[in-house]
Amino acid sequence: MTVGDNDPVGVGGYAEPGETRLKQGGGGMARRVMLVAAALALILTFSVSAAPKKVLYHYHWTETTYDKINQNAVKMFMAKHPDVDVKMVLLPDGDRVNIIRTVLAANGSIDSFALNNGESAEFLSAGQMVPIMPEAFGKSSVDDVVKMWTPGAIETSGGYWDGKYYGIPFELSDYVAWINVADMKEAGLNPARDKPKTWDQFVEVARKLVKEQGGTRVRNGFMNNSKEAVFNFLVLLNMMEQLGLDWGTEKGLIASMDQTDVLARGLKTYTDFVTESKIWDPALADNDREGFGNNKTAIFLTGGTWYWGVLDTYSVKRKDVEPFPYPRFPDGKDIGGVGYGYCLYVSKLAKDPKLAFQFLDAMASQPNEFIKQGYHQPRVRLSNGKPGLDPTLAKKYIPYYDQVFKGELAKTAVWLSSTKGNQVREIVWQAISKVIYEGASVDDAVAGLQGDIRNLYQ
Amino acid sequence: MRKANYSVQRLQRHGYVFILPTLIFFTIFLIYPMVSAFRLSFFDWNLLTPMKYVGFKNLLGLFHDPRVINSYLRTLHFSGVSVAAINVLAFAFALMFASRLIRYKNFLQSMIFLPVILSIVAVGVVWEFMYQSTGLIPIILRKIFGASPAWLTNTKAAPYALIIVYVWKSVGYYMVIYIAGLMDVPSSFYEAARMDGAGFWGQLVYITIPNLRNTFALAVISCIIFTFGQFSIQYVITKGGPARSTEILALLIFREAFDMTRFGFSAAISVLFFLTLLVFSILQLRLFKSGAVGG
Repeated sequence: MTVGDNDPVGVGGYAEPGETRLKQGGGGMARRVMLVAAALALILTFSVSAAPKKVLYHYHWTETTYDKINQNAVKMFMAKHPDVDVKMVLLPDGDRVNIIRTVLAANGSIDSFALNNGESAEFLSAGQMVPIMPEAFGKSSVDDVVKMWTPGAIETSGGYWDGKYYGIPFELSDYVAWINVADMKEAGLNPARDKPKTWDQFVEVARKLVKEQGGTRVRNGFMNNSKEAVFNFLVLLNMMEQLGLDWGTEKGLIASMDQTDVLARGLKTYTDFVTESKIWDPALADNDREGFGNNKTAIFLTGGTWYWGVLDTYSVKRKDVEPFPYPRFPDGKDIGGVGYGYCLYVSKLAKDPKLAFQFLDAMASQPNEFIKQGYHQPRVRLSNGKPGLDPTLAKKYIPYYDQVFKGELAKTAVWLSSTKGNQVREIVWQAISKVIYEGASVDDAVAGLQGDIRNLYQ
Repeated sequence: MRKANYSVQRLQRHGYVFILPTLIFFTIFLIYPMVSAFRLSFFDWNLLTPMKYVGFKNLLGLFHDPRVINSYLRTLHFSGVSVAAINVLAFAFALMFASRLIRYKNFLQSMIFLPVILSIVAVGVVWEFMYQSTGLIPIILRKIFGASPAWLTNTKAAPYALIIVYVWKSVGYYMVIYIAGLMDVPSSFYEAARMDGAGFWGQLVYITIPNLRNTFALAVISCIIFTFGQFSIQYVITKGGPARSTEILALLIFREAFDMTRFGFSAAISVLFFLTLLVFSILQLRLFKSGAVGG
């Protein structure tokens, strides 16, 4: 077969009928060889310039204000590492942990990801993460890396496990109590003086803030989320820790099951909000953050510094709202709302763990941008030695930062670090539900709680 | 003769080629996951640690787990009440629209059918607001009766609150099935019955219902199967609460897997779920095959 047979538009132009290109002689052949060489050179040039980049897959939650800052970190990192392409997979926070779990199970493309302190224990115990590599941060020891964040920040945000540091903190915050001061004034209370300091005062104040119209309750004195177990678990956990129980560790939780009286006191304090003092009617609304924003409750307990931004999306104005420290038991420990945070981790599936840690370092290097949005990154110093979070910005952008958030952050209740954390919170929510929805006695609910927790860890 | 057989066989082989894409699709997305779920029920797995073989522990554990037993009973209750209510109402609406006395039939039928095509999540959110103590339903009930139950926070009322939503959402679909069935009954039967002096009830009992035997079988059994698999309404409105009073099986399967991260146990519940639905599916097939209906 000749070229002309199947290539009517060849390099030498149209072949005449009966003529084949091979007959064109040596000149045509040389031209053809040159063209092939040129084409090869061209392919080579392209293949060199298109050398495959290293790709990093990072799994993070999405939040409009967050996303812009995170994308900026990605851009800066890629500008510094032109051979790296970062793919940021942004997920709704509620789905994040299960999507990460699934990708890990499937040995998928995942170099790094974000988990909060309620989620990390299960992953860490399963060996899914790589311990911190100091060289990625330009440091000689893990201690030097740890010192770049406020003391205890990695532990509180869940990045410490079994004697090793794995995660670098991305956000650290704590729940404080929030009260509608306009409602207080309406009820004849003085916001400066009458914010409750103990749980008894809390009930007293909340009772006055309950509002009814035509026999129908239109505002709760207090409410929590009545559909999600976790928020009820966290408030009760705070009470139990104030009462001296250790609900921050598996060992402490199991040991606390022998303290029947203390468990009953904590559970009664919480469930009485519904059953006795009736400051909380779950039938009015189920979401406390939304309820507070729309004045269906005058107090709620599950908001951090970020809630200012959330509040702006509802009808209640910032000027009518003040955060204040969690109430305490007069004879209990001085412990505030639960501390929580997110750490960034390098997956055991990471192709280049050092590079992945370098990327995470870049992600966690904009504390001053985040604080402007109300999010607190506990970074003291950046890897290049420059200062981390500017405390004056925190004061400037987060109302009541110095008066409430900062002080309470140093006294947070510790979120349970357990591989069975999800099951524990369901058991605790079941105990609460038995009392508030089924009319069971606190003693029966405590007995159920004790049995279920012991069975779980048996 | 042999040639004819050969052609039929070839034709059949060609037929398999045509159904191959569908077969591949169902094998990958239906049969394989089902077989995997059966296999998974013999393991403990949280997706993070290696799978651990536990034999029949998960499957046997179903019969001792109060949460599973509660869910199973809740599902039976939800399905039983819903299926009865849906079919009675759908049949009643179909009869009503078969009457010549009703005006604006198309408009009314569209109104009843409309919820069927609405997004279940949107419907759930709206109903949730309507059920809250300051919502439309308690306000109306208080005006009429002077009191209203706490629909979503009372363990006795909440299951019925969700049944109402589900019935409202589904009745239009089954109404259409019954209307189609009624249209198949020859009008001469009614004419003859009228000549014999049969009134409304007589015609209903001796003509309409016997002639709708197939339609009833189809509607009731499909309704049982669909209702048993309900998930969205419970997930959106109550998340199984209060105190697990609306935690039906499909929701429990989801929560055991994605909240509790007990994927093996979740798979075991789904096996139980599958077997229950299988009974109804076989019943439906047998009814139609035996000629008890469909003949």
